[in-house]
Amino acid sequence: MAPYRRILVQGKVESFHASLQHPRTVAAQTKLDTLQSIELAEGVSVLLRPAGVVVRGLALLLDLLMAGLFMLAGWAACLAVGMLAGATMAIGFVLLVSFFIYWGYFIFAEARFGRTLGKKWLGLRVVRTSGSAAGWGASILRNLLRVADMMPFIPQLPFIGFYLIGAASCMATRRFQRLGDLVAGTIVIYDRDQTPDPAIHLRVPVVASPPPVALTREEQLAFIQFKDRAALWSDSRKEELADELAPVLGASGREGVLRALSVASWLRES
Amino acid sequence: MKPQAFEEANRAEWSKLEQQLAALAKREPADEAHRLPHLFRRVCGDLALAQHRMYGRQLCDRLNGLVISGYQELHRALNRGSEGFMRFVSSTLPRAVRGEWRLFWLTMAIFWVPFFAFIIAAHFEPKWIYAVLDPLQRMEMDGMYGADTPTEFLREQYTSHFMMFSFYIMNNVSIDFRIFAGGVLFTLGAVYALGFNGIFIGAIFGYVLQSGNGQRLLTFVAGHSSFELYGMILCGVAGMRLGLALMKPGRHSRGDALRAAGVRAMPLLLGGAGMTFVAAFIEGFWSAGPAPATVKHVVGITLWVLLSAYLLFAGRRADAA
Repeated sequence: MAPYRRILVQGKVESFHASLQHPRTVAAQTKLDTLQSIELAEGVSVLLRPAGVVVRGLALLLDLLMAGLFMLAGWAACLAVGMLAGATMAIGFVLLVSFFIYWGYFIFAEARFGRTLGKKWLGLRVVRTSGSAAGWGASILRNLLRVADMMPFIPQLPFIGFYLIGAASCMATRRFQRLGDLVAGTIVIYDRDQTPDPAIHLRVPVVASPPPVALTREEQLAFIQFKDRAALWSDSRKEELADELAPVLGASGREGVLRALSVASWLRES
Repeated sequence: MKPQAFEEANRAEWSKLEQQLAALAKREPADEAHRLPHLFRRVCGDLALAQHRMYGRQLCDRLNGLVISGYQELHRALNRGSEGFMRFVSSTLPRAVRGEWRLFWLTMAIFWVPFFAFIIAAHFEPKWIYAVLDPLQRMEMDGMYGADTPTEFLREQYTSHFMMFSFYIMNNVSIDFRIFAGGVLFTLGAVYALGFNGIFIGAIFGYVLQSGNGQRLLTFVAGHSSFELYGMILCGVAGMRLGLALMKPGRHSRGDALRAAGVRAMPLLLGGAGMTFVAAFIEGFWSAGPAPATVKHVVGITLWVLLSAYLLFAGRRADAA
């Protein structure tokens, strides 16, 4: 019988022995995290880390602020035009500036730079589901459909919506896509890695020691990922996970965690 | 090979690629840019190795990020410039419209049936108009197209062509975009907005034709009506296409169907918005201008015929090719 049942593989929880008996269940793994693996034309797989509703909402708030500031700056410039060329000219420019900032701020920034200012500050980026840059077409589609995603909104303030439809769509889709993302074929990802460096947070001296039994590749990977992610978990969560391996490691609790970490260090250094 | 040794051996190449990508992101000239594809493929190989040898998160994440940035710089669609624009106008757009002919006629009906229904209803029973236009709106119409308004009124009212041009851009193109976006909600937004516009504009026409100076209204709208209404209809078709993908995804998942619908809707959306821009130009600088009514009518009818012929016939030869 299997000494342990749950194995962490590339962020997936699977019943390892069940998958051996029924190979198809591998395809139906429940994922532990949201990483998206994408194979590039170069034949190598990269991992994209989709961004969730909350961080995107924060980026949106910053963007609304910035678009508002741009709008004010544009109107001030129009005022200067009005001094020189008359009131009707100025009103015309105000209308044009408002139109282009309202529809164009997001479209231009995401097409040209891959991200708006708010996304830049929060470390997000818009990419196609294939991993390549969004470009003009996708940027136009996803940002025009903002109008549908931001519903319900206040008619008098068409900038500000509650994004209930967008949030519902994000939560219902695997890659956190709102309707605009689905139509344009884009996802919003974390541009830079934001998980803490395990070396800083793991203040335990770990002595490398070989695993007590021979490990398959997936099992080795599970140990290494346990070490990589250990810094993200509380001590009790670490112990809970290591306890699954107690029969193999010959220890449970804090001692089990340390042994799992030593195995991971040994695997890394060999 | 230990991770440290692997990193030592390849660090120089990785930072070289990092520098080149940083320079590209800032649109600065990168030295030895011709080596970028080569470097990128080397780093792809390094990432595959690091993943296979399980070098751990830190190293893999760094290479992963590097490969993603490199991929984004190297794999982008070329901007086809003016040639792409010419091809879009001469064949892509009319072919896209003909490809959606059923949805096109359905969308036309959603707008035109209530439009004509209200003109006819107004002829027999004015109460239909009062149901749509409130007294304030009727007064506004009286001011612009009333029986006893001086003929020069429009010209005096709209002396600033540029201001009106800007207003029409802001108002009409925004409406088009909202119709498109509303369509994704199971077509409801597009159907509502198109039907509402049909009813509202129909009521205005019915009211002015009955009790005001219909001649002046027709003269004013003649020039820009073709571009403006076709533009609105095309954006409506684009939106309906998205909504239908959600309602009736066929053999695809709803997500895949939406993506495919987005590809089909794109030329219609751009074409519709472009036509509405042209309409705003005509409406701002020509429609209230001093040209005699007959000229405006002839120009208006000519534009309707030309635009319809364009959508029907342009780019047919490319079909065969």
